[in-house]
Amino acid sequence: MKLHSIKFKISVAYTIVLGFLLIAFSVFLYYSLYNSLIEEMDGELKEKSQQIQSFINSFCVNYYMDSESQNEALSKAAELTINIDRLHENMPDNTNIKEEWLKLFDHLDLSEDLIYIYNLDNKEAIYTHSVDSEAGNLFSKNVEHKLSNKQYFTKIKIANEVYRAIQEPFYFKGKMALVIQIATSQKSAIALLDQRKNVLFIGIPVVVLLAVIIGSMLANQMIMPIINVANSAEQISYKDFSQRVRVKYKDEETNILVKAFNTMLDRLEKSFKHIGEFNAQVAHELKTPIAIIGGECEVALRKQQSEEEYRDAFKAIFKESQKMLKITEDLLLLAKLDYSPEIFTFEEFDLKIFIEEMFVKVEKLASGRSINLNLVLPERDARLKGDAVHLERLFLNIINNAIKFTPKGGNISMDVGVKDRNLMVKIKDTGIGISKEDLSKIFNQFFQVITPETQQADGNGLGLSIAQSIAKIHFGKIEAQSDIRSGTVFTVLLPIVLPTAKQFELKTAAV
Amino acid sequence: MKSVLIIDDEAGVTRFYRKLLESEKYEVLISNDAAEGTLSMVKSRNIDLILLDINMPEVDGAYMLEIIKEYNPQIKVIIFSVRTIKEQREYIPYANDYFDKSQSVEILLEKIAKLLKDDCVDSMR
Repeated sequence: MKLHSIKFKISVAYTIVLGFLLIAFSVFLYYSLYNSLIEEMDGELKEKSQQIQSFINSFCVNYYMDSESQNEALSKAAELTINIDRLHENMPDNTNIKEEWLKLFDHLDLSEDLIYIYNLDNKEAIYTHSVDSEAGNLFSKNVEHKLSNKQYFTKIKIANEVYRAIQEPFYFKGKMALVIQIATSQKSAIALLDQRKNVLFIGIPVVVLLAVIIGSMLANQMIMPIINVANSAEQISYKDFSQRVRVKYKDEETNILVKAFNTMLDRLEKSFKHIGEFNAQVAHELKTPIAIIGGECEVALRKQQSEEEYRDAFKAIFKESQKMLKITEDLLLLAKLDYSPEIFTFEEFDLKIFIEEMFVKVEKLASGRSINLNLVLPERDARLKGDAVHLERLFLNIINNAIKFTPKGGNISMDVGVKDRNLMVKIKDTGIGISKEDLSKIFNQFFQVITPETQQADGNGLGLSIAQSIAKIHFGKIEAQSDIRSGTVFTVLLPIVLPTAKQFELKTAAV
Repeated sequence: MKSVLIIDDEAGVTRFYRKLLESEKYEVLISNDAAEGTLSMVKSRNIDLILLDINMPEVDGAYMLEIIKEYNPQIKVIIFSVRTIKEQREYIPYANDYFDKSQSVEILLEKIAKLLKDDCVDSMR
C-alpha cells in the first residue's frame, strides 16, 4: 500500500478515529464503573454508620432512663462499647447488649472494616476495630479534614492500602457527642477495575487491529472500481480516441467517473479530429501560394529573360507572399480569439458614432465598385461596452464580404437598432445570395463560396469565421439570412450590458 | 507545334506555367472557368495535352476529365494539383499522368514530353 494512496489514507483516518473513539469510550466506561463502585461503597458505609449510631443511641437512651445525667450515660456508653471483647469479659450483667452488638457486627459484616469511635470531650477512643487505638483517629494521618456536623466521605491510605472512609458525628440529646469513623478497603473494587482495565488494554488494540485489516479490505474493495476505470482509461491511447471506458459498476460514483471520462473522450476525439482537419486545411491553403512562389522562381531561373519578365515574376511572388501573410495573420488572430481573451480591451463607446466613422471608410471602397451604401441610425444613443478595434474588424469583414458579392450598381444598407437587450446592426446587400446549403457553412474556417463572378476576388475563407469569433467574445452573435438572387442579410447582435463576471466564467467554461 | 491546355482557376498558377511551356515551344491555351468554355475550346482547337486541376469552383476535375475523354479519348491528360500524387490517383484513377504542383517544373516538362512522344509513336503506327 503506497503512502499517498487513498486506500492508505482512508485506513489511517479510519483507524485513528476508531482508536480515539474506543479509548474515549473506555475511559468513560472505566470512570463510570469507578464512580458507581464508590457510590455503592459510600451507601454501605452510610448504612453501617446509621446502624451503629442507632445502636449507640438506643443503648444511651435506655441507660439514660436509669442514670441521673447525660454525661454519666455517655461515659457509661463509652465504657460499654470500648471493646467488644472487654465488654464481654467485664460486663457479665450486660450480656444481652454484647450479644446484640455482636449480632449487629455480623449483620453489618464489619469484620473486614476499620472502625474508630471517639469521644469529643476527651478525644479518647471509645471503640476501635482493627485499628491501633493509640494511633489516633483514622483520618488524622491521611487527610486534612475539619470536623463537620455532616457526613463526610473520603479516600484514605493506611499501610499501602486504599480505603473508602466515612466520618459522621453522633448527636445525643442535641449535642455532638461522638465521632464515628468507618473505612472499607477498596481492594475488591480496585481488583474489579483492574480486571476491566486489562480487558480494555488488550481488547482495544485487538479491535483496532481487526478494524485496520477489515477496513483496508473494504477500502480496497471501494477503491478497486476507480483503479479499474483508470486502467481502462490508460489503455485508450492518444491515437485511438474512438474507444471508451467500458466499466460497469453498480455504484453511482464510479458510473459518474466513467461517464465523465467518456464525455471527456468525446470532446477530445472531436477536437483532435477538428485539429487534424484544420491542420490539413491550413497546409492545403498554404501549399498553393508556396507552389506558385516555387514555380515562379524555378521558371525565372531556368533561362535568361528580359528585365520585364523578371519584374513580373517578382510581382507574382510578392502577391503570393502577401496572401500567405494574410492567411497566417488571420490564423493567429483566430487562435487568439479562441485562447487569449486578454488581448481584448473592453471600453464603453457609442456604436452610433463608431458605425458612422466606419461608414466613411467603406463608402470609398463601395463607390469604387459602383455600389450604393446607405446608413440608417437610431435617434437615441447606442452605447456599448466592447473592444472597438476588433469590432471594427468584425463589421469590415462583413461589409467587405457584402461588397465582394454585390454586382455593380447594387445596394448595401446598414441599419443600427435595438432588439431586446441587444444592439442590432443589419447589413443587407442586393448581392448574388448564398444557397441554403452554403449558408450553414459560411462561418466555418476556410469555407469560401466560389462562383464564377467572385473567383478572382481576394479572400481566404477566414473573414466571417473571425467576425463570428469576435461577436462571441462580446457575448453576441452574427446571423445570416439569404435568398439566392435577392441578396443576403447579416444581423450582428451585441448585448448592451455585458454579463457579470460569474456568468462570464460560466460562459467561457461552456465554450 | 504541340498545344497544351491548362485548366486551373488560380491565375497565379497559370501565369508561370504558360511562361514555362511557351519557352519550351508549346502552344499554350488557358481556361480558368466553366465546363462549357473549356469544352468548346477542346472542340474548336487541336489540343494534344491537358493539364487539369482538381479543385475548381464550377466543375470538379474528375467530372471535367470524364467530359473531355468522352469527347476525345486521344487527348492526353495530366492531373495537377497541390495534393500528393497518391491522393490524386486515388481521387481520379484514369488520367494519363499526375503531377504535384510543389514538385520541380522539370518533372512536369519530362512528363509532358514523354506523353507527347508516345503520342507520336502511336500515330506513326
